[in-house]
Amino acid sequence: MSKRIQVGIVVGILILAILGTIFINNKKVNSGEVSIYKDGELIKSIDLNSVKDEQEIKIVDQNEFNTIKITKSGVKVIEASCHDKVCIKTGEIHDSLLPIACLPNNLIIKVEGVKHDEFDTKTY
Amino acid sequence: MFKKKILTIGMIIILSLGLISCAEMNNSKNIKEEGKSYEMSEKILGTIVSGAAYGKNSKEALEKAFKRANDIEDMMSVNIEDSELSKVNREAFNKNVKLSDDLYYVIDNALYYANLTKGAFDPTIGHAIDAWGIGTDHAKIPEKSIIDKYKGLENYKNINLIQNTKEIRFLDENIKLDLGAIGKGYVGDEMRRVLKEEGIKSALLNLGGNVVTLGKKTNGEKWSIGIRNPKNDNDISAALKASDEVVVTSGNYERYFIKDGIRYHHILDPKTAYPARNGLISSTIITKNGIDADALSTATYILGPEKSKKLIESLAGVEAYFIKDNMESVETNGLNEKGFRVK
Repeated sequence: MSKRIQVGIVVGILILAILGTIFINNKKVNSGEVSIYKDGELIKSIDLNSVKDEQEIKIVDQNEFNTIKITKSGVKVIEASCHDKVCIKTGEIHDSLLPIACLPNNLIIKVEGVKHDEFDTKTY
Repeated sequence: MFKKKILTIGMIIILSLGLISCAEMNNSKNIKEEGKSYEMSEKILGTIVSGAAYGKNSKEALEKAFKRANDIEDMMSVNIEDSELSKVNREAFNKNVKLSDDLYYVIDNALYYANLTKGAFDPTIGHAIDAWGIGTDHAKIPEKSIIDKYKGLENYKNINLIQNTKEIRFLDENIKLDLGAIGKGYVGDEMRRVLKEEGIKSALLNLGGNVVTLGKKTNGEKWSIGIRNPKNDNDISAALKASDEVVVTSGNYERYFIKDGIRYHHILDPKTAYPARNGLISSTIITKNGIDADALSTATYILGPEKSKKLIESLAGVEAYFIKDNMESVETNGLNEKGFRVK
């Protein structure tokens, strides 16, 4: 093996390693917007592309609650006060095919097309 | 010799793989620590309160902040029969009633704004609010005799608040304190205080349209806040940037009913005991504290555009954006420093 080939292999591997690192840090598994509806009212929307780290959201209504976990890849309910736990059993959703519904707590979670919103929140 | 080269290349591969997995580990560490965030939403004060906090302690801090909000609601709601405020309303006519520090503070501020606005903001019109029932399932236009009884009473002048003993006494039997136009502001301030005490440096709260900001976003930018178009729920009229400030809007679209084509909204003018109709349909206040912003957004809505612009410009550290019923807007001078722009 000539020295030039050896150097080539080493440089090649290093480039692959750097590209791999960039890829892992920036991978976008999914796109779309998570919309959370409570009692029919949209209370929160999150653009999946803007999710850098996993987020937990707890929705409380008197003694009832659902805890929702949002990651880059999708959304799921991880804790709930309801008796049937259908919302937890639905698992993680990634697209608009199936919403997560918690009928006892009147909560619906959907992944919908992205509506680009430049604001962090709204006053009304 | 050949073996040595293979060994060298092998080691480089292992090192490179190490680099990749280190990056991944670093990423998951961020999730656990610096990048940690937590969000909650809960029905409090008849509205949905949402909060997002960022940082290590975000979950515990936000839960404590929401607990504080619930405690204040239990104290100051007129819809809870055994709240401290309900007790005051039952007992304080011609009798001194001792107040908690929280309730004393809020009533003291409410009376300050009643005096400042010459009664445009008046926390004593609870009976008129009850008679209209706007936002309940029994909303109606009250009988003329009821309106005549409750209009123009200026009863904020008939409350005796004693600073030394923190006691209150009503000097008129038609007084019913309703802190609905100022309580949400105080709740937001207290939630932010709890978050700060818990070491949170970045958080955003929204109490049914009252926006409270703590610090800046995790990327160092100020929070970007849209102001709702009063005639279209899905549209934004204007936007601004805020940090450690609150943005509060009063509008005629929040709670209302329509009868014979006329919209009867929830912001009552104490002078007429009717929903305020003085030229504004939306009034947004930007300042440091929610208790001030909440009282001023209601007062300015009632005062109308000209008097309100003068009032706000006489106050230090307060800015406002008003939308008139013909959709023209009025802005105070310092608003441009808040990154304000009309859409």
